[in-house]
Order: sequence, then structure tokens, then C-alpha cells
Amino acid sequence: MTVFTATERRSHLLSAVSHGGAYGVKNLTASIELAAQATFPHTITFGYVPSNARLLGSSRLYWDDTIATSTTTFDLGLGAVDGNLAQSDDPDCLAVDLDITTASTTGTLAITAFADYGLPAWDFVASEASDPGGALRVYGTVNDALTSGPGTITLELNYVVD
Amino acid sequence: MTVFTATERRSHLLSAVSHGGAYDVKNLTSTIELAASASGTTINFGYIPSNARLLNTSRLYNDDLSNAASPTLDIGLAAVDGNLENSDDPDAIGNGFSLSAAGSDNPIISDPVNIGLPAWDLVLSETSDPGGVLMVYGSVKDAATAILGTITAEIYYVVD
Repeated sequence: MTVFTATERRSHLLSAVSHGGAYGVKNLTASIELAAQATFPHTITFGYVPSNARLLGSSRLYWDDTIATSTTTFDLGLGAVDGNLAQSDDPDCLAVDLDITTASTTGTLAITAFADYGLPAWDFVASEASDPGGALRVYGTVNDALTSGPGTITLELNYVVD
Repeated sequence: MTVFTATERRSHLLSAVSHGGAYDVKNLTSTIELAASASGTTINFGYIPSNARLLNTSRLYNDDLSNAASPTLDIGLAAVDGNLENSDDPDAIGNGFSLSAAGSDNPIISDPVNIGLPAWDLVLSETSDPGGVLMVYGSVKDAATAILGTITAEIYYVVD
């Protein structure tokens, strides 16, 4: 019988008995009532997380069915704060081309690639090779068509800081 | 009108105002790129305190790892340093997750009655907290996997 060991994505400074083996889960919840927009794309800042925040798969996006018509899509990404990223802002490093033309009331994965769950935020940014420190901006981009609005988009981003 | 009170599964040492009524939610996120593996293969996803109360936000994500057969994955708990009185329980937390189709956001705790119970209490016949930590592990069952693919487990828990 083969025994494999999965890669734990949490601080290795804690044993499984001190602090319950991990620091507490943090949360960034942000919501916007988006009016109809005359132009696209446009971006939405949801807030800021530490650059080393380990982003968790329980993070969800919610939107209602009045937000968009036609082929409107939505991306979720990370951007620099005070120019801290060595690379460009990455507008779709968390999720890309989410269809927001029909409601998502039970939640849609805010981070699509489950192989990446638990990676630090900076590591989601394309080509970023090391932790730049500071905070990163979590932002969404509404693409491809006009939103009809007004409609709500809510992000619940869960993370752990080592 | 009858008023019932549900069983709270959290520390009773805290009032609802101190510490917000509960200690922090903890997380164990583990991922593996699993090569083609025989039935019986096990995967160590990491360790949690024996008294960790497992929460239903715990989810399993997997690629399609099979092109013909129907392997499944069980998620269980095992002793560390021989702390359990009873045998390791390979499907204590969840069982029968299909590995022959991509899976996303599947609740790891198969039986809702177990949500919020301490980990040790999910181990078959275990009657008291052995202390220490328990290993969360997966077992490939029913058939071999045939395709390289990712399995990610996100375990959420609270420690009293």
C-alpha cells in the first residue's frame, strides 16, 4: 500500500497542538450595489488583504439577477498597493469569466483553481516570485457588456495569515 | 407553541460576549497531485487536535482521476503515537467521494449529525478524548485511479 503525504498550506511554526494547529481564519466581506454603467470594463475594489494571506477555497462570490444582461462576465484579481508588486496587477488570478447574467445566491467559488487553495495571495499574481510585503488590493472587473443594474455583488474572502 | 433548544457544539466556557462567544475557526488546507494509484493507497492530509470540532464548511475538491473504473475516496482519522483506544477509522469523516468525475465543493462530513462534534468522537467506538492530535487521511477505494490529478481538502474546525 502506498502512503502519500499531501502538502499542508499553513504555518509550519505551529505544532498541531499549540493554538489548535493554526491561526484563526480571517474574513474580508465586501458588498456593492452597482448601478448601470455606461462603459466597460470597470473595476470594483473589494478591499485589502495582507500579501501573505493564504486564500481559502471557502471564499465565495454572490450576485443577483439584475446585475447584468447579455454576455457580461466578471473577473476577480489582485492588484498592487503603493507599487509593491514586482509584476503587473493581475485582474483574473483568482477567477476569470464568471457568468454574472444569472443570479448566484448560494455562492460561486471566488477562487477557481482548487490546486491553489491555501497559497499566499502574492503567489496567485502571475510571475510574482516572492512576497512583496504590505497589502494587496482585491478587485473585480466587469467585462464584455454593460451591466443593467442596479445589482449587488458580494465577496466573502476567507484567509489565514501564518 | 413548543420551543426546543438545539445542542450547541462549542465551548461552554465562553459567554456569547467574551471572545464573541467562540474561539477562532481554524483551517487545514492540503493538496496533492496524485499519480495513478492502487486501491488502498492512503493520503495524509495533515493533523488536527483530537478535540477539534469539525465544521461543515470543510470541503473536498478533486479532478477526474479515472478513465474507466470507479475509484472512490474515503476521509478518516488515524491515531498519532498510538493515542486512539480503537482502530484507525478510514471513513470516520466522509466516505464514497467519486474520483471518476471532477468534484467541487463537496461537504467532507458525510453525516450532518457529526457536524461540530470533536474529531475523536467520529472515530468508531472511541468513547473519550485521547488527547494529542489525529491524522486526517484519505483512502482510495473500490478501484485504482488512472490519471494524474489534484485532490484538495479544506478542513475547518474550532477548538474549545
